[in-house]
Amino acid sequence: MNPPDAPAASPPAPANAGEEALDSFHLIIGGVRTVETRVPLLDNNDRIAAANRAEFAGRRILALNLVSSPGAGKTALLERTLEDFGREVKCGVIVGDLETDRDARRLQRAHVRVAQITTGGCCHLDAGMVARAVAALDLRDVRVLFIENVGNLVCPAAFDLGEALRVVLLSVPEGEDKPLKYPPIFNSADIVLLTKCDLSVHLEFDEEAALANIRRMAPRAQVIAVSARSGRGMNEWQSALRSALGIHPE
Amino acid sequence: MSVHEIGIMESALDAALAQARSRGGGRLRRIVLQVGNLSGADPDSLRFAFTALAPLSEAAGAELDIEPAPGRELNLVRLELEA
Repeated sequence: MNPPDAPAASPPAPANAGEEALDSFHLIIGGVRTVETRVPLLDNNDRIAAANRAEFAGRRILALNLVSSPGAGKTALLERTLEDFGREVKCGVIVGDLETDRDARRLQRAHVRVAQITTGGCCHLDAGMVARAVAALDLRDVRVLFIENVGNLVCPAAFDLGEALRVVLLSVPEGEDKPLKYPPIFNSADIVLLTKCDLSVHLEFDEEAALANIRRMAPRAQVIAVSARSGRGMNEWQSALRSALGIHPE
Repeated sequence: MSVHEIGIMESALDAALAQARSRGGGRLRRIVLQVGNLSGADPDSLRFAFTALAPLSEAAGAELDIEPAPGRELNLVRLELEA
């Protein structure tokens, strides 16, 4: 093995016809350099995520990355949250979808700043998309920035956006065992919300089993059962936001 | 099969070719990645992405090895270069 900075070795002598097999054997042993290295493959994303995190910290903004499968209720949760909590604390929303601005329109309110990212087919948000959306969004006075990721339980797990907290939603219709099937995303959660709990009774959903599965796969996460429709758990969710902001009830 | 492994493999090939150039050049024979079970990257999807992308790059003809790892590790850890 040559040291990495050795001058390029002269090519091996051409093989004699009769010794071809022997020569190729020599090539494999003598002609291959092994280079040990350690390059993180998401280095570029992680650098931009670190810059996003620093910008959020500098502006004293709490950024949350909301991830779930499609249709788990991210937008409904935000609609409800913006109506209550959002009137008390200035909120911004960045919402990611493959196509359309339907979610941004659903979330549009006079007291909320909203930006839509259309990824054009990309299955997750990355830190660069968030940085561009942040640059375009007026963040003055904003204390909480919700980043609604593309609906997908797989790909977003790998991409740090610079958030302070990752919130993973699991909806009742998806079934009790989903957390066991998608370990990376649940393992990365700071908060897990079991959503659409008003449907539990209709679907004979075993909430205890679901909560046990969540706690097993997301051991460090705060777990809250919520329903944006009935309002169940919304106080606890909004308390979690307040305590992450350092706002404590008197 | 998820899709983001295409982008991750593009990063892996770029990193491998950059490393190869900075370490004296030579054709890439093998690229070794370390992929954590909680990295969010699926080894089979990475292999598929490699078969699609490597032939179009300067890494054409190279082979891919994936070493399992714990946690969120996702790194290029080794190259084999022809002298």
